[in-house]
Parts: sequence; C-alpha cells; structure tokens
Amino acid sequence: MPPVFQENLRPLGRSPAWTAGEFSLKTWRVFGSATILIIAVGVGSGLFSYLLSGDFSRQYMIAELEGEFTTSPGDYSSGYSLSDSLAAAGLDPNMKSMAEDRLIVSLVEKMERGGTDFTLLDIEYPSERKFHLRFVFSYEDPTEVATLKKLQEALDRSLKSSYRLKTQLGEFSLSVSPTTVTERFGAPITLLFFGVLIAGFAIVALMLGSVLSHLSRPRAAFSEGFERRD
Amino acid sequence: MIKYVSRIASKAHKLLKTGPVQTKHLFLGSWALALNIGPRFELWGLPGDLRVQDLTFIPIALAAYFLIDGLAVIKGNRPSDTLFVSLWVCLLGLLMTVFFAILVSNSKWELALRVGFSVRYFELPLTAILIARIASTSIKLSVIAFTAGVLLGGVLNLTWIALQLLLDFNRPALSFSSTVPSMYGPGLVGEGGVFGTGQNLTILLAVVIGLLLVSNNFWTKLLLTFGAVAIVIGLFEVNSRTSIGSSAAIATIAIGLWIRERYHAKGRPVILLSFMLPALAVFVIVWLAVPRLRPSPALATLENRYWDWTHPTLLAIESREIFGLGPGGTRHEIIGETHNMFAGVLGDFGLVGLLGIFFLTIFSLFIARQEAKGPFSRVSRFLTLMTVFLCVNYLLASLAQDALLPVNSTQLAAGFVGLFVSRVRFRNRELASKNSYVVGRQ
Repeated sequence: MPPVFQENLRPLGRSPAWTAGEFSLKTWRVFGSATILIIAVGVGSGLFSYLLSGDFSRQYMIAELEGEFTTSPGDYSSGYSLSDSLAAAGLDPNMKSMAEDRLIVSLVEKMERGGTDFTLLDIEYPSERKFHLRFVFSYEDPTEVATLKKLQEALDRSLKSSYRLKTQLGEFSLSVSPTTVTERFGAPITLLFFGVLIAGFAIVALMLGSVLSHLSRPRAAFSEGFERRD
Repeated sequence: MIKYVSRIASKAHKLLKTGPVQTKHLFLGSWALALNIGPRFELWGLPGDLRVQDLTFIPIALAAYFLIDGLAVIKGNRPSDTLFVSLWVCLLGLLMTVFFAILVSNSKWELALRVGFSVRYFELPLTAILIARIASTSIKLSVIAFTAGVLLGGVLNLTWIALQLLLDFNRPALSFSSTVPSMYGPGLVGEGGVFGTGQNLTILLAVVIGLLLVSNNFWTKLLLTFGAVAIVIGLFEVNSRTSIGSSAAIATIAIGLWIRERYHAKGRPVILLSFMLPALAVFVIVWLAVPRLRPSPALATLENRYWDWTHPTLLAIESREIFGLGPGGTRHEIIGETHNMFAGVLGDFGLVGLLGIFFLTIFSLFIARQEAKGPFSRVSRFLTLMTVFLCVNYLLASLAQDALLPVNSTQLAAGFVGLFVSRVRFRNRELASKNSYVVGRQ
C-alpha cells in the first residue's frame, strides 16, 4: 500500500479531534442542553404566542398590465404561422399558446431580474392578440404612484434589454389599485418557527458573549504555547 | 488500470498534500481569488438557479478527493479519517437529495431547482472539508495563502467598483455578469446584484478587521485601516442594507475587543460599556448615512418580507413541518426567494433543518470558545475571530435575505471554516499527543 493512504487507516473513533476526553464530553453536554433548551423555549413561546394570535389586515397593490402581440399568434419572424406548421406536423394547433406564454414568461422574468419585488398573479388572453397580466406589489411601495412608476421602469428596462420583446410586443397600458387582504397570524408552525428562532438567537447570543470574553485579553498570551509549530 | 489510477492519485496527492509547499498554497490562494472574481452564468435561467459558479468548483473538489482518497476505498481499506468520512457522508447526502429530486419533480424546472439547491447546500461542507484537508499539514501557510487570495480578489473587486463609480457605468456587457441590470449600483467583477456584492464586501471587511486585530506592525495596520475604509465606502455605495447592518455589528465587536485589550478593561460593567459605546456610535453613523436602515423603515421592510415570503413558506409546509419540502422545494412552491434564510431552511428541511442551523452555529461558537480559552497564536486568533464574525454575519443577514444565495461569498466563508476546522484538529492532535490520552486505551 502506498504510504500516501496511511493516514486514512486510523481506526474509527480514535481520531484525537473527537476523543480528547473532556472536549468530547463538554461537546455533548452543550449539544444536549442546546437541543432541550431550543425545543423547550420554542414550544413554550409558540404556545404563548398562540394566545396572542389573530387576524391582521394588510394592504397590497394590484397592478394590471394590458398589451398585445404585434405578430399574429404563433407567427414569428420566420414568416410562417406556428399553428399551421403544428397542424401540418400532425400536432395539436392549440399548442401555439406555448409560444405566447414563452414570450410573456420571458417578459416577467426580465422584469423580476430588474430587482422589482412583485409576484405575477395570473395571465389572461382576452382575445387572440391581447394579453392581460396581474401583479401583486407589496413592500416599499406605499402609494399607487410609486407602484406605477416602479412597474413602468421595470417594463421599460425589460423591453430595452430584449430585441425580441421589443419587436413582438406592442403598446402597453398600466393601472394600479390598492386592495386589502386579511391574513391570519397564529398557525402552530408560524409560532413554532418564531419560538425556535428566538430561542436559537438567545443561546447563540449567550455563547457569543462567552467567546468574546475569552477572546479579549492581553496580547502577551497570544504567542505562547504549542501553536508555534503550526 | 488500478495501478494507473493509483499512480495518478499518488502524484496528485504528493502535489497537493505532501509536495512542495508552494504548489498547495498556490492552489488555495488561486481558489480564493477565483471565488472572488469567478463569473456567474445561469445555465438554465434564473429559476433553475444552478450556475456555473456552483459547477466550476465542485468538480475540482470531488476530483481531488477521488484522486487522493478514493483509491483507499477501491483497495478495500477502511476509511477512517474524520474528514474522509465526512466527505462520503456529504456525497451520499448529495446523491440522496438528487435522487429525491428526480423522484418528486413534476417538471424540468422543478428538477432544475431541486438539483441546483441540493448542489448549493452540499457544496459548502464539501468546500470546507477539502480546504481543511489540504491545510492539515501546514495551517499557517495555508491561512496566509487563502487570506492573500481573498485580499487580492477584494482589491480587484474594489478597483472594479471604483471604476464603475468614476466612469459612471454599470452595463451588463461590462460587468462580466448576466444578472446585473442597469438599475443596480456597482457590482463585483464576477457577480452583480446588491446583496451578493454586499456579502462579499462584508466578508472582506471581516478579514481585514481580523487581520487588524492580530497585526503588530504599524505599516500593516495603516494599510489595513485604509483597506477597511475603502470597503466601508464600497458598502455604502452598493447600499445593501443587510450587509451594512451585519458589517456594523462586526465593526462594533471589533472595536469593543480592541478597547478591552487596549485599556485592559476589567469587570462586567466596563466590558459591557466597551461594547455598548461603539455600538451606539456605529448605530448613529448608520442612522445618518442610510435612512432605510433606521428602525422604522427597516422593521417595515422586515414585516413586509414576512408577509410576502416567509408567511407563504410557512403555509406551504403546513403538513410537512418536520422534514420540509426538500432542497429547492420552497423556491418552487412560493415561486420566488424566501428573503429569510431561516424560513428557507425551514421550508426545505423543516424543523430538523432549522435546529440543525442553530446547532452548527452553537457548535462553531463552542469550538471557538475552546480555542479562545487556551493559549493561542496569531493565526489561531485570526481564525477564531473569523468564525465569530462569520457567525454574526450569517445570523443577521439571514433575517432579511437568503444568506446562502451569493454562492461565491458563501464558499469563501466555508473556506475559513475549513481552515478553522483544520486548526482545531491540529490543536487536538497536539493535546492528545501531549497527554497520551486516547479513549480507546482506557
């Protein structure tokens, strides 16, 4: 056997890193305590929060974007109709909608990449050439004007960045309207999540304090010890 | 055939592990540099989220390990080294999650998401293990090489940011990144995006502050101080609120430690004051410089993010609270990012994953405490400080963002964790040989 692999042949459980006596014992003690504490505090605060839970109203901005395709459905720059070619190939002509969907998905993806935080609610095709998108905006957009401006910017940027979108999508009309939605805060998983989060942060903060108290000490101590050999 | 593979493995091993010091350290330094400036291309589009960034380095890690250690298994020997076992556990975990992804995915996008996230989750321990393994025989030089790579990458990134500000450009064609829209501020050489850039600068700031705290030379300190100032300016220009917040926390801890050491502060009230005063000062500076980080807008943003992303995540996993939806499942269910790493981990791995995150953090801090308690060298102190800083960064940044998202920065952090692990193993080996204390002999 080549000497290369000799270090791999130490039997399991003998690696000094995990068997340095006190170190190992303390590790498991900390592990055990932390587990019990996180679960206990998590469940406890979860139950406590459950008593305080309830319904919360929240305002969203619904933005609507209407537009139309400049080319006929499925008819792209190659000059022939996609639906015709699909039918000629013996495929379902309804598959043509995939081409439009791809165009719209590309538009939405580009708008999302612009860092605008919205979620696409639905896509409709009211007539053969038209499309209608609905987005929901929420955070950092307190007014309708701000939301509208953000949507317009995202749209302009997306169209600018893609020749295909610019040429195959025509004029757009944008509108924004606020809507109020009631949400319920207090499902068991929500409370457990916050409970575990609070408990975890509390234990980490204590541990951090302890590390910092050991870390800050006179410089003279740093150069001491066996570490010179590393 | 086995003989041939054995020869290649031995040569690779010699090169990386027992060979000339320069080769191994050049590898570590180049890796850190590449992680800093490596380009980001999305193979399957943004929804897929599996990028060349991820793919570039994992094969290197795997190939190196297969060459070095894989033969031990081929030859039928028992794998016993802790890091070696950890590697196989990680690989097995990765294979299992990919297999799970294939089983449960209903579309190619879902599969891309799930595989992408599986790779992302497992590449971090793989990176840490590989670096721990490479560094195991000469920790000091490995730390120097890796840190030098990070600093050099940081200098290049800061120069690139300065150029963008001076020439007033930030166009996708010039930024080497496919995801930098024109609306963003300055970005890194390899990765655009506000949070990605902010996180990279935060890790760079942690490195510079860590070096400042262990350095004794006046000129080095002066140079590092200039570097820290440049990074802070860069952070404010990039305007990533989360990263500015966690950098402020790191700076506060560093100033507190410095005051305590400089003035030999003793007693709990004095110690508390030495941390509280810098905290207040940093808070006021941030208050004045970044209006969006003032408590009211910051809390409003957090609240909005809760309703937009965390709440849907919690609803999505309502009948699968314990083990979650699997890697990438949350992104697929809520059609977007969680903007909260804890919620993301809860969604993907359930309560087991959330507890796991806290275990890892508590365990890391526990080891850091053990390390800080004993007599330790400057290298050791630097690594301990980095561990503390990285824990603070990831805990705070994770509240407002998916902190695992900037892949390159996270891998840099994993690199420092690997070096710390290597350092702790070295110490324990020393302790064991000093005390001749082996459990098996009891």
